[in-house]
Amino acid sequence: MLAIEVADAKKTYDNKIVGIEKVTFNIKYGEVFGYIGPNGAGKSTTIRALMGLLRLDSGLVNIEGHDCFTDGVNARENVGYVPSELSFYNSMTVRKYLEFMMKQKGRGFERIDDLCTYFELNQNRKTGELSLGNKKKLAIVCALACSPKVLIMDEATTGLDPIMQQKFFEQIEKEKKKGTAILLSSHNLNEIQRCCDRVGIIKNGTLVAVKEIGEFKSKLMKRVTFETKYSHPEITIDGVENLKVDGNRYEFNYHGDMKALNDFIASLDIVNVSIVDVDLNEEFMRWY
Amino acid sequence: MQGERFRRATNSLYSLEFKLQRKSTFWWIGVLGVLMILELLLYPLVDMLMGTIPEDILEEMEQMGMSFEFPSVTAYFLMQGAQVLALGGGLFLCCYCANTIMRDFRGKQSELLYTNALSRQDIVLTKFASAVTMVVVFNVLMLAIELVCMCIIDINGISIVPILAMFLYSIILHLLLVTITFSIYLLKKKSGYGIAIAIPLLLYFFGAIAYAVSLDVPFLMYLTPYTPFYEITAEAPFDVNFYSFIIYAVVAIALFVWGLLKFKKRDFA
Repeated sequence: MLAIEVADAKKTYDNKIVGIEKVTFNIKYGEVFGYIGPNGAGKSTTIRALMGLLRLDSGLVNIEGHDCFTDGVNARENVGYVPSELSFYNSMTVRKYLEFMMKQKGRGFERIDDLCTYFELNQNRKTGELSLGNKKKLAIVCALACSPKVLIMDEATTGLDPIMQQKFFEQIEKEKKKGTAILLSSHNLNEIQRCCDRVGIIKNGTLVAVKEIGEFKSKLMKRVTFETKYSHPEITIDGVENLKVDGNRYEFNYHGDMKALNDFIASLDIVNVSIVDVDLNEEFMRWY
Repeated sequence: MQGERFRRATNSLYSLEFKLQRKSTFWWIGVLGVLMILELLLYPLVDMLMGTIPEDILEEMEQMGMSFEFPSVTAYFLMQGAQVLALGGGLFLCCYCANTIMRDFRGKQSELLYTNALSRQDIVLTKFASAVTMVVVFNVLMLAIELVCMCIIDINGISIVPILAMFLYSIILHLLLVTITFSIYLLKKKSGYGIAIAIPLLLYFFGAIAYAVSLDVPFLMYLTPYTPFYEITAEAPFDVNFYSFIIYAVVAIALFVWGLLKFKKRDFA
């Protein structure tokens, strides 16, 4: 059985704006799926449909075989959720809030202490006094404390400092090893590439690509920079993007055949040359 | 979610409602309680002043539908205190139940509350149960305050049956107002206290107008649940118009079912 199944999902809002259209993907247990897209692309719409907050116009969203809207109680039974917009009951302390949420999820309090210690979250502070980063930590602890089989996290690392991000990804690794299915949404591919098995890219409400993260990396673009002594060659090879010429200095992104690139460069009166991997996030920007 | 886990989840949500609104509840009950006490404390003065008004003026006022004869503290309370209880209590309880629904959407807590293993229906019914409990708690507290105050002012003037009847009407009225307000807030997407304040205010003042013209247009009395508060007397506490309660009970139940069905299918965007 698939942990998460989304098929041909379509959601249009009251003002006729299309939230998502023809979105199809699935996530297996023990898999981390990165859901990437710019702001307003439809990531949160998909996630809200999965959490039963939105009803689809057509298509299907299932968690553990249960429809997320019509059978939401069973669908959410084993789900830990971190929303992108965080709001708690301000007068409650972190501890009281976590206890309340565990009762709502029908779970015990066993993991609360360990997770709060791990994420350095003070349990005696009121939720209304927490900074954005600490609020994020609270939501992450809340999602993990219920020992979920499915984790859905919408921009979970926003507001976390680098150390906490590192701890967060370590925790994600642990959950993955336990067999938890994880949907991790972000608008920053670099950020989540280290733990994702697959990545889905959404743009203007449509899923434009679903790829293994390895496939993404193998097809990674190169940033080519070279300087010629006298000549002003015409760049004739295929796979060149964003060409910039400044006197004898040439700079472009390349995603074609490496041998063709080598041959081309060898034919020039080169003064210096540099070929480096393009930042993964820059690669991702191609889809934007 | 079944059995013990379900009870645990609903119980924690039920008690959360009281905890989150304890400050506003304290202030509302405090202010209304003090208002009713002050009104009762005026009874000896009002009684004395009534004695100084000439008989013919009193008769004329009575012909105009204004009764100012208060033979006992109970009669005085039924005439004056009941109005504060019915209107003030209505305002407080309608705002209370509006807040139970509105709060989660205004602050986006709905993203966390409505994504657990309780259904929307379970959450809403638990919140409604807390509002119903508040109706009973509020009225019992007010009854206790009033009885203590009346005992201090004139223990011999207390008739317990009319007072209890009045509080019974108050509980019914407040239950109807709370159900209607709660249902409307289930239906509406925009937040704000406007409707919660307008419902008791409009129905109360409509009741006052309906009572004033009741001899000429009697059917108007059926159109507001406040009618019994204008009709109740110490001598005949049960000789009031119950039809308005029945009409409003039907309206409240229909609205509640509609609100619940719509809320279950609503987008929480």
